[in-house]
Amino acid sequence: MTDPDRDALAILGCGSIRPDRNLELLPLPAEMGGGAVYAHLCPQSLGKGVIPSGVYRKVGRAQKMVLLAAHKALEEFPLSPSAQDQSAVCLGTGFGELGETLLFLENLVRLEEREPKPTRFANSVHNSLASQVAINFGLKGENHTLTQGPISFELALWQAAVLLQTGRAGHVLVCGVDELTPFLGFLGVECGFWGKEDPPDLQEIERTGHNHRPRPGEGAAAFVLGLRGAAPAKGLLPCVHTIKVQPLELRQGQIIDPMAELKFVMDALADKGVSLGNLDLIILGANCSGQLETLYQPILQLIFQDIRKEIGVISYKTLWGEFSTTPALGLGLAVDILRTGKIPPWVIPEKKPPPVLKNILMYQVSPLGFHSLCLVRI
Amino acid sequence: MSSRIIVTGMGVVSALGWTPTAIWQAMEAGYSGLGPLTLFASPRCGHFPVGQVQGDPAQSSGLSRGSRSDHLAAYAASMAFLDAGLDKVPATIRKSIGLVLGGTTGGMLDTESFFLRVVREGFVEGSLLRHHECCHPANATAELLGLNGFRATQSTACSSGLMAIATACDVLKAGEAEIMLAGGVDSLTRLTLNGFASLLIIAPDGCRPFDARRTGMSLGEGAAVLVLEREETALARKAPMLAEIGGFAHTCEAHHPTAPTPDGAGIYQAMALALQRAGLTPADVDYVNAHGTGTIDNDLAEGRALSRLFGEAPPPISSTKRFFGHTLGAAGAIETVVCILALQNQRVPGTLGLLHPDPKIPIKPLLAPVSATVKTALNNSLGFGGACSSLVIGQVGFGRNGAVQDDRP
Repeated sequence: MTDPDRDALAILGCGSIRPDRNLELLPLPAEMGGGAVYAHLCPQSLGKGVIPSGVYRKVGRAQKMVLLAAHKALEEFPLSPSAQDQSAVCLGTGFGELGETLLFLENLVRLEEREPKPTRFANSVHNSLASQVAINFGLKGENHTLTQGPISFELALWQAAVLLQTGRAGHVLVCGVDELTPFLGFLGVECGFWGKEDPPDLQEIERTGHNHRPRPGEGAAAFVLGLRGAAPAKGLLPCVHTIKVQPLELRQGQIIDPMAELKFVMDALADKGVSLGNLDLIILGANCSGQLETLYQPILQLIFQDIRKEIGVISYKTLWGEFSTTPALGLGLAVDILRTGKIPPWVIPEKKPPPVLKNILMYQVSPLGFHSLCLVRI
Repeated sequence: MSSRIIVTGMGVVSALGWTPTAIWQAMEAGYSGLGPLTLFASPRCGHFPVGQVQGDPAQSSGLSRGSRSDHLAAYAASMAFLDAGLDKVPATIRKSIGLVLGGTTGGMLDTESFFLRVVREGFVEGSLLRHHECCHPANATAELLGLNGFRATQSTACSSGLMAIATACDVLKAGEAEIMLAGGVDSLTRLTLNGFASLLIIAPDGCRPFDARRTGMSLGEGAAVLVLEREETALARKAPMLAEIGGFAHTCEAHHPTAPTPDGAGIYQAMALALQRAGLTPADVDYVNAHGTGTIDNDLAEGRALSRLFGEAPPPISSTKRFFGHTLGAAGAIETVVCILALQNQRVPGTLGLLHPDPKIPIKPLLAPVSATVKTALNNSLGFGGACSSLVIGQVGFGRNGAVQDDRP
């Protein structure tokens, strides 16, 4: 009998570059009003000694992040030279190599276009991230860079599924990466995503392990994917079983309909023969902003009405901050949980997890007009 | 379910005109869209000729606000939408239509203005940053046309436009939408103009693809959008059937951040794979629209790859970059429109600017337009990071007697 899960995406290797869960002050550009925002930041010296020195000197911070994440993922599942030729890269990013782009731009503006740096320009294209990964790890298959705000990573995952399921790639390295720059910190203040110098409630964080306000963040994650039917080991292999990424049917001023969201989730799970009652954990894109809380709470209430059991809910953005591709870190967390069968002690879910963790729903709905989900199972 | 993808509408805006007919007439007449840069002042690069869209796209896009890229994309998409008769489809179908755009700079032109005001005037005009993201043209266009289906932006440098068309085909084949809009957009920016100038690959007198005296590329701007749908959808709603997507392939050379491999290994492989997926052999190709930017390295590498693929009997090959300038994320989509126009008119455009073919390049591109039987065309796009894309497009039904393959297992 054919394995119904043979087309699932087996996560063969996984690497995450997570920012510090402790908040640090990120100064904003003085010319843009100065001040600072509390943020989740990755270490400044990333990848030294791992990324070849010749490359290290020429690449930007986001490139370093994703190279390091890819290095970790490929360390877990090395690809042979012949496999590399058939391996694709699908990368999601909200802002690309923003640091290098802004440095190039600032140089143009401040120096009246004198002395532009060609390396920075080459790094400024969004696909400099995926192509650096391809160059460094010899991956010569298709090379996609998808950018669509909060669903950029999920789109990369969707594209990877197409490549694997149509035989256009043997393996796909799926990556998500975004860096936080002072400019982006400023942009988030301008757009009302987070506040300036809004001090964290350290006691609350200590007690719950989570932020209770939206904070900017940065990070990267990479996953080596192959079809489950072709994967070498089929035992404790976390697999992505379904990916749905859609714009929301919204008109200006409309709010998100919780019933429609429940249907979105239930229909997607039903396609894979899974009901809400089968879920063991939900990992959400909630960030504790008032706006998002009012979206998620009624949807969760409807889900729990149907589940009729206690399951945990984790919000990755309250651990690592808000950025376009935080869902990539969420998937990394799901992989860790499924591999070990435990929720790490530093993640404190709101409800007790069941003794066996098999089915994790990753779900996000964004007021920017999108929703996405994926079912990760072992 | 048929795997055939039909082009049922197209819209384009470029330095050469605002409609497919206008650009075709200009190409036949041998006009170049290259001219002086007036969109912004550039102390260092203002002397380079560019393919700037004439007229203000904000006046024609239907958007009340947005970046120049937003306006260009919205205009081209609206034209394609009308061309395909999508204004007449029921609202329920219209909502399910998706959109994939390719692009590299999004609202960068506005972001540049933001920084200029900050540095020169000390004025922080945050509203200029609202359209910064690369995905903003797709969001603005989808909102304008009421498209609620699958949405994505591909940003793979100069191959973005072709990649967007390929992803839209993937969406249709996966059954996630019945109708998709797909294309590419980029406006001129200081960033790209200075960036390519810093790499010393902008030609002071305009690009001359495949010419022995070529000195580089010319930048342009524009947008092109196609309406794509599965054959049965197009037949059911009696849509105009303009062309058929035959096959697509993309490879990454994994060689260098900006330079191609000298032998063009990546683009050779992409072309060969695209033909295989379309069920064609090199002998079946009637026209190649080469990437042909006019840079020393690109033209040599692509020429070698074309020679390797077609051997002694190449089809007519041309680069149309001097007509439009290199429109980056829009290039692959604009050149797909050119291929469709070649199929419709049974004419192949020449390589404007090519006067003295480079003897080191082992192909002989067309100097001037010619009449030819054109049933199938191959369209190449190459980009930074070793991105190599190739698309086969043909007259509707071109593969009926051949073995057009569905690449789904």
